[in-house]
Parts: sequence; structure tokens; C-alpha cells
Amino acid sequence: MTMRDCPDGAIRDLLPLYVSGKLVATEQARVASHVATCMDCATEAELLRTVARAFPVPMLDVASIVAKLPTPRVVPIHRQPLWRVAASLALFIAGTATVLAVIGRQPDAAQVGLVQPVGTQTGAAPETTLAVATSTGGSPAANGALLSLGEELSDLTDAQLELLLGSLDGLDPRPQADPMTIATPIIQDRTQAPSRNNQ
Amino acid sequence: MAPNSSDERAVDAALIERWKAGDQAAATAIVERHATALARFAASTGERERIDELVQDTFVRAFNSIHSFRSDAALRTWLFTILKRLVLDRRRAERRQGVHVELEPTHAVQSYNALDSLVADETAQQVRNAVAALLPMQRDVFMLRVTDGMAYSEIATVVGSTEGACRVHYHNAMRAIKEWLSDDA
Ligand SMILES: [Zn+2]
Repeated sequence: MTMRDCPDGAIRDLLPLYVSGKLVATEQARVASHVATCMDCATEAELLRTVARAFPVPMLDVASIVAKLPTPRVVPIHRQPLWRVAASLALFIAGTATVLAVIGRQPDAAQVGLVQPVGTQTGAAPETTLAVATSTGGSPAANGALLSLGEELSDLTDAQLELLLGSLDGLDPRPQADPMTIATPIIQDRTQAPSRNNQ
Repeated sequence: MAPNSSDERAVDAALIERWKAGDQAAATAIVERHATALARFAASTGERERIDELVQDTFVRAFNSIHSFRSDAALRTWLFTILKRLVLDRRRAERRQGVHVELEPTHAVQSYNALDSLVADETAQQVRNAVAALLPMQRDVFMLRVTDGMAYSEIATVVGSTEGACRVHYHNAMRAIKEWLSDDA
């Protein structure tokens, strides 16, 4: 068996794509008409088809592959124990929290801040928590209402932060008698989000 | 060159976003789109055992770091790159344990006879032997081009080379296969 190379290198370059049907229609037709009149290319194309057929694909169980994949990292806020929220709230109101960063829309509007709890008097874990506060420009400690997610910020996806900020925009910036009445709607909103399964 | 590469990319990107938003069905769709091509490539590199495991590990690695995946990049290219690395890791581990013997045509004949009763005709057997006799780089480039119709630029990313070098590898591989088959006849 002797196989020669067609002098048209550009066409030869396209033969594997032609054989696997990966060319755009016009190119596919152009190569086909060449192959129809060129014995070298016809032979090479047939060889390529044989190569493609010669390696059988092992049976794969898609379901079992998917079963071993991690699940999306979506934070289940509704699973946060209430004591975490309460503890963060107490810390905030006591004014022992230090605001490290504030992503405020307007000075008087809702604010999102990184709150580093100080001390252990309330039993709160000494980890960074995401706090959401509303204020009217007075003492945030006096008017603040906040929601502790109790998760590292890195656990939040962009989509979740968007959602959180969206929820904040919907908040009434005026002080409320009971801060929890502000925080509660956010918690309820978040229960609609897909939850993270155990990994 | 490939007609739908940007469309395909967009479909993958959309599926990834759906998965990130909590849709597990999107993961199934992603696996269905790429698993077969990955398995075929693994088989063509001479891997004969636990190919499903290689494919599995490829997807697990990809999904574990999918947050770092750029949405404008090609998921397929990335998956093949991961698979290629896993195959190399496995080779290295096997070599340390003294398990792996570099794929030789005779080994290929035996193993594929055992593996494959469907494509048993003589020509296919000769072709497999010819592919097995290629240099690893030639073989990878050739098989990605032939079985998946990949652009040279994409192949270059997977095998860690340049587009021009991949074109040369492809044509050298084709020449070597033709010579092998001519000698064999
Ligand atoms: Zn020709």
C-alpha cells in the first residue's frame, strides 16, 4: 500500500476537520469537491476515517460522574442558627464592632460592612462576618439592624452578593423599633435561593 | 475554521453560570457534552484501564476550580488540558511503581484485541499500531485533530506547544502512519 501526499497542503490541513464535519458549510463543500477529483486526498480522508473509528470509546456512566461532582457553593442563610444573628446584633448595638470596610450606596442609605467582632463576651465566633446595617446618619449602633451570614465572604458568589445588595436597596433606611423586622425579610428572601448540599 | 466553536463556547459558559446558580442539571449537560471526546482521547494516548476514572477526575478537578475559569475561555480546551495532566501524573506514578511499560505496538495489539471486539478488522488494527508507534507529542496532536477536529490553536494549548509546531507534528504523524502502513502491507 503506497500513499502519496497531495501537493495542496492547505486542503490536506483541512481533511481531518472535513472528515469529522467540523468545517463551515462552504468550506466543507470546497474540500468535498477537491476530494472528489483527487485520489490522494480521497485515500487520506479514508485513512482519517479509519483512525477515528479505530479507537472505540469506553462506556461511560454520566450519572455516576455527575454524582461525584461538587455541588454549587450557594450559601444557605436559612440554616444559620438564630444565635449567630442575635450575637452579631448584640455586638453591633453595644458598639464594640469595628467597621473595616463599607460599601455604601449613599451616606444615609443601607450599608454593607465587614464587621470584626471584638472580644468573646457574647460567644460569637471570632471570625469575620458580613454585616448589613441601615442607618439614618446618626449612630449606626443605635439604629442598626444587621444580618450576619456567618460565612466567609469568599463563600459568596457574585450572584449572591448582587442578590444581597439588591435586598438592601429594597430596605427602608428609616430606623425601626425592632431591628429584626428589617432583617427578617432578607432572611426570607434568601430561602428562595438554591441551597448548598453537603459535599 | 471550526464553524461553531464560539457558539459551543457560549453554550458551555451558559451552563457553567446555571450550575453556579445552583442548577445541578447543568452539570449533567456539561458532562454529556464532553465526556465521550475526553474518553476517546484518553484511549488514544494508550490508556487502557480506568479510563472512566480519568474522565471522572477531570470533571471533578474542573468543577472544583470552576470559579477561576474565565468565561471567555473554551471549557473543552481546559478539560482536555486537565485530562492530559492527569494522564501524565498517572504515568509518572506507575513508572515509580514500576508498573507502566511504555506503549509498544505489540502491547497495543494485545490490549486492543482484548478491549475491542467491534472494530476488529485488520486495517483498524494496523492503524492502532501505527498510532501507538508515534512519538507521544505527535500522537496527542494527531488524535486531537482527527477525532475531535480541534483547531491547531486549541491543540497547542492542550499539549503546551505552539500552533505552528502542532501543524508540523500533525503532518509528521500523518507521514509516519502512511509509512507504517506501507511497510506493513
Ligand atoms: Zn488533493
